Amino acid sequence: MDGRDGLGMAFSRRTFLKSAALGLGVVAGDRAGLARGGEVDDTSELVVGVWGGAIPKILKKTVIPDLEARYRCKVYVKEGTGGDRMAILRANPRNPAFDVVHLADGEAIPLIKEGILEEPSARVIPEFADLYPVAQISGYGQGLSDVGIAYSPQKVKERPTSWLDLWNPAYKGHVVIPSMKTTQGSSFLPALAKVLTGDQRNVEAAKRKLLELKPSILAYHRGTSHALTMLEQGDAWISVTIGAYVYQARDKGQPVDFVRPKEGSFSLIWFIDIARHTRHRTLAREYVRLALQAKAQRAFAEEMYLGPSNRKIALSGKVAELAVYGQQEIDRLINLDWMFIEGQRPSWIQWWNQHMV
Amino acid sequence: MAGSIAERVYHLKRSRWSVLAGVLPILSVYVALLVIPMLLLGQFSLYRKLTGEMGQVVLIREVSLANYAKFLASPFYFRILKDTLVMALTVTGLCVLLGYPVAFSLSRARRWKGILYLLVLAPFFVSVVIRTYGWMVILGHNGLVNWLLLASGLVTAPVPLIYNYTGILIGVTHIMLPYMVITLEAVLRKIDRSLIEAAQGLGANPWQAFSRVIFPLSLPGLVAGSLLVFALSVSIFTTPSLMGGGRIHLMSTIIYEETMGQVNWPSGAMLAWVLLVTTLAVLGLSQLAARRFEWRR
Amino acid sequence: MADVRLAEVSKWFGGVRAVDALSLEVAQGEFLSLLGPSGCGKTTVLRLIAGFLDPTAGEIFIRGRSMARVPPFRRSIGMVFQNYSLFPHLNVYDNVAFGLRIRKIGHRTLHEAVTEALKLVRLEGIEAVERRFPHELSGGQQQRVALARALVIRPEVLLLDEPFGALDKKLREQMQLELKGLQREIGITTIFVTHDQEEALILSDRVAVMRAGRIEHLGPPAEIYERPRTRFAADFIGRSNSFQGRVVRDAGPGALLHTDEGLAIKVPEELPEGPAEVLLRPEQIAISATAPTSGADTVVAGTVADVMYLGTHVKYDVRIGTKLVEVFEQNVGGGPKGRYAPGDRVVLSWRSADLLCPRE
Repeated sequence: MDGRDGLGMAFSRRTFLKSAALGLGVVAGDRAGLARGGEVDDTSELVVGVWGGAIPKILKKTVIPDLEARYRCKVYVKEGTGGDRMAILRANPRNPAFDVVHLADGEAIPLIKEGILEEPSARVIPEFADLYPVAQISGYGQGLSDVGIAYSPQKVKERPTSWLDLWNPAYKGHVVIPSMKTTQGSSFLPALAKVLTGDQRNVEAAKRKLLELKPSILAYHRGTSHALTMLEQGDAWISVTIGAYVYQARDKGQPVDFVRPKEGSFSLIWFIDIARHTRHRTLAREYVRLALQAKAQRAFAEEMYLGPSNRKIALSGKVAELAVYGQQEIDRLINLDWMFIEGQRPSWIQWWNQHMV
Repeated sequence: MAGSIAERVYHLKRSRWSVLAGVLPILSVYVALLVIPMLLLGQFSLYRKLTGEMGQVVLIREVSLANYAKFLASPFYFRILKDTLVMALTVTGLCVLLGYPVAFSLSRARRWKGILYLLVLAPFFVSVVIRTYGWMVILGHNGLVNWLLLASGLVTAPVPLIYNYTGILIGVTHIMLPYMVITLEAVLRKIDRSLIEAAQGLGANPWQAFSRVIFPLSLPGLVAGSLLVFALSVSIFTTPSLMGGGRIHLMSTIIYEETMGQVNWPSGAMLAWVLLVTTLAVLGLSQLAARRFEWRR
Repeated sequence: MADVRLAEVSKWFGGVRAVDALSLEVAQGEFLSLLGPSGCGKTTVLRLIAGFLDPTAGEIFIRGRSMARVPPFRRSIGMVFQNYSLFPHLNVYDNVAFGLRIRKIGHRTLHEAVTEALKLVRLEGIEAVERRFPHELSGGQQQRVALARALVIRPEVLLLDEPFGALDKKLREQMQLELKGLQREIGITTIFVTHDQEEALILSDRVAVMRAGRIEHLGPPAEIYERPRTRFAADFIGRSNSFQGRVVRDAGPGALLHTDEGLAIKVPEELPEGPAEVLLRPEQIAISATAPTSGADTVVAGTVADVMYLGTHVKYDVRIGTKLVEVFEQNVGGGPKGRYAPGDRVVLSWRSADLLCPRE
C-alpha cells in the first residue's frame, strides 16, 4: 500500500471506476493514465489555495505578479480554510483542484503520506536547503509564527505571564481558546501537556486541565480573526492565538496585546505544498521558490510579522523583535511533534466533542 | 377504426406523457442533484474509515452497518440529535408565536403593506455572516441588549446571550421568521374579512371571532409554515456554527466536522442519513396530524 | 315605536360622504328595502346599523336603545351577506349553531333550535345536510344556511346585503318568495339592501330609493313606482319617456307643455309655468292604427321606427316629429309578432293624469 490514491487507497480498480462515475471519487481511466505516462506540464495557469486575509494580500503583491510576469500565466487564488482544501484534494487527488496549497503545521503530513501532496525536496526547490529545520517538516515552510496569549488590556489589568493565567477565576466567562478543529487547537493540547508535565505526549494531564477551564470559556475560536473579533467586541478578555496577527491588529489601533508566556509560546509554521498530480508543475515549483526568496520573505515579515523561514534572510528593528526570528528564538518555542499530533487528532476531536462542547 | 385508435393513442399521450414531459426537467434536476447524491451518501455510510498513525485516511470499502451501530450505541450522537430536534421545534414554536401577529397585521395592512413586507423579508437581503456579526454586536457582552438590561436594572451582570444555545435560538429564529410569516400571511390574506363580520354579527367578540374562525382557517398556513421552518432549522448550518461559538453541536455541524474535519466520510454520510430519516419521520407524522385540519373550499 | 331609527346619520370616508345626514325609521315587523345604484350608500347604511362602521355624525337606535359605542357583537342583529360568508371550516350544523355556541346555549336547546332553523329555511329534508360543508352545497342551499344561521339567534333585526345577487334568475325568484313568506311568518323587522328594483318592489313594505348618501324617496312600492318624488327615483325604477319644455297656461282649461321637439302636450294643472319636465311610463301609452282610445285626453300621430318582441309585451319605438317615444303593448293574443311594422303610421294616446311630474 503506497497510499497513492488518497481516500481511494484501498479501492479496487472496479470500485475505483465506480466511485469516479458516481462523482465522489477520482477521475478515472485514460486521463489519469495519460498523466502517469507522459506528464502534462502546462505553464498557462496555476491555482493556489490559501486562507483569506493578509497572506493572499501579500502574495498578490509579491509572488503572484512576479510569477505571472515571468511566465505570462494567470494565477488564480482560491481562499478558504485548510480543512476545505484538504477535503477538496482528497475528493479528487488525481485531478487536483489546487496546484499549490497553503497549509499550517502538520496538516500536510497525512496528505503527503496519502500521496496527494509532494514530499518536499531540495532537488526540486533549491531554497529548501536554506530553510530552518522546523520549516522542512510538512512541505516548504514559508513563514514562522507562534501562539501565545492575546488579551484585552482594558479588561485584563495585570499582564499575564504564564499559560496558567488562563485559569484565573477573574476571567470566568471571558476566555476564548482555539477549537480542537483548528491547527492552533490541536497544537494547544500537547503544548499544554508539555507545560504541565514536560512531556508533550502526556495529553491526558492536559485534557484534565482543559476540563477545569471549561466553565471559564466564552467560546472556541475558529481562527485568529475570530478571536480578535470577540476581543474587540469586549465579550472575550483573554485568548490563545497567533502573535503575528495580534501585532497586526494592535498596529491598526485595536486595544489588544500579546504575551509569550514564560513557559514558552508554541510554534505555528506556515507551509506551502505542491499537489502531487498537478498539471502545472513548473509554475507550482516556481511559485514556491519565489515565496521562499527574499522579496516575499521580507514582505511577510514587515507586513505580517511572520518570521522568515529562510535562514539567509536577516531582519532588524521592531520586526526582528516581534517576529519569530532566528534559530535561537525558534529553540525557545515549544516545538511540537506534528507526526504525533496528526496521528492523534481524530481521537482528540472526538474527546473534544464529547467533553468540551 | 384507425382514426379512433390514433385518437385513443393521442389521448393516452396527453394524459400520461404530457404530465411526465411537464415534470421531467425538474424531476431530472431533482434526481441528479438530490436523489443520486443521497443514495451515494447512503452507500458511503456503509463503509468505514481508518486513520493511519500519521493521520492518513484509509477508506474501507466493505459494506457493514458499523456506522449505524456506532450511532445507536452512542449517547453522544443521540444527544446531538435530540438537541437538534429540540432546537428546531423550539425555533418553530418561537416562529409561530412571533410570526403569527406579524403575519396577521401584514394580512390586514393596506397602506404600508409593501414596506412591511420588505421589512419582513429584510433578513434575506443580508448575508448570513454579516447578519450574524450584527447579532454579535447586539447580543454581546457589551451589546445593546445587555446595555439595556443593565441600564434598566433588570440584571446586575451582563447575561450571556451569544455563543450558547440562546444565541443559536435567536439567530435561527431570526432567519426562519420570514418563512413562517410569508406562508401564514398568504393563508390569512385569503380569509374573507366578511367572515369576521359574520362571526361578530352572530355575537362573537373579537377574541372569539379569532379563535373560532380566523385561527382554525389559518391552520393550513400554520402547519405549512411550521413544517417549512422545522425542515429548514433541522439542517441549518452557518448560523448555529457562528452563533454557537463552537460550543454547541447540532447534527449539521457534526456532519460537517466528521466529513471535513475528521475526513470520516462514512460517518458523516451515516449522520446525514440519520438526520434525513428523522426529519422525514417528523414531517410525515405532522402531515398525518395535519390531515385532520384539512378543509377544501 | 320604530324598531330601528337613524337620526341624521352621516358617514364620511375621507372627504367622501357615503351617507349624508340620513334619517329613517323602520317599524316593528316591517320589511324595508334600501334600493339604489352601486355607490349610493345603501350598504354603508346597513353596515352602520350592524355596527361594522361607526357613524361620523348622528345616532342609531335599535328598539329605542342608542347603538353608539355598542360593538356589533352586542347588537341583536342577524346579518346575511352578499357572498353568504359561511364558515368554510364548519359544517352546516356548526355554522348554524355558531351564534348559539357563542351564547353558551345548552346542548339540548341548541340542537332543537338548529333543527328548527334548518326546517324554517327548508333544509331539513336533504340527506345528511347538517354534516355537509359549505363548499358541498349549491348557491341556494348556502343562502338558506346563511339565513338559518342569522335567524337561529332570534335577532331583533334581520339585515340582508344583496343576498340573492349570486343566484340565477329562477332560483332568485323562488328565494325571494320564500324570504317574504318567512319574514311574514316570524314577523322580524328586516332591512334589505338591493340594486334590483323589481326585487325591492316585490318584497318590501316600503322602499327607500337612495342616491349619493341620501334617501330620494321613501314609500310603499306602488307609490315609488307611480308617484316618484324625484326624477332620479322615477328614472331608476322602471322605464319612462321624458318630455322637456316650457309649461304655458292658455286661456282654456289646463296647461300645455311645449316640448323642445315642438310638441304640445296636455299636462296636469298644478304644474307652474316655466321650464318643466314630465315623464310617461311606456306601458301607459296606448298604440292604435287610427282612432284614439277612449279615456285618453292626449293623442299624437307618429311612425313606428322599431319593434322589439319581449315575450310578455312588445316594445315599439315611435317617432313623433324628431322625438322617439317608447311604447309597451301587452302581449294579449296568440297573434303574429306585433301588429305594426316599422314605417307604419300609428296613433299614440294617453291620459295626462298618468304623467309623472317629479318635484325635481
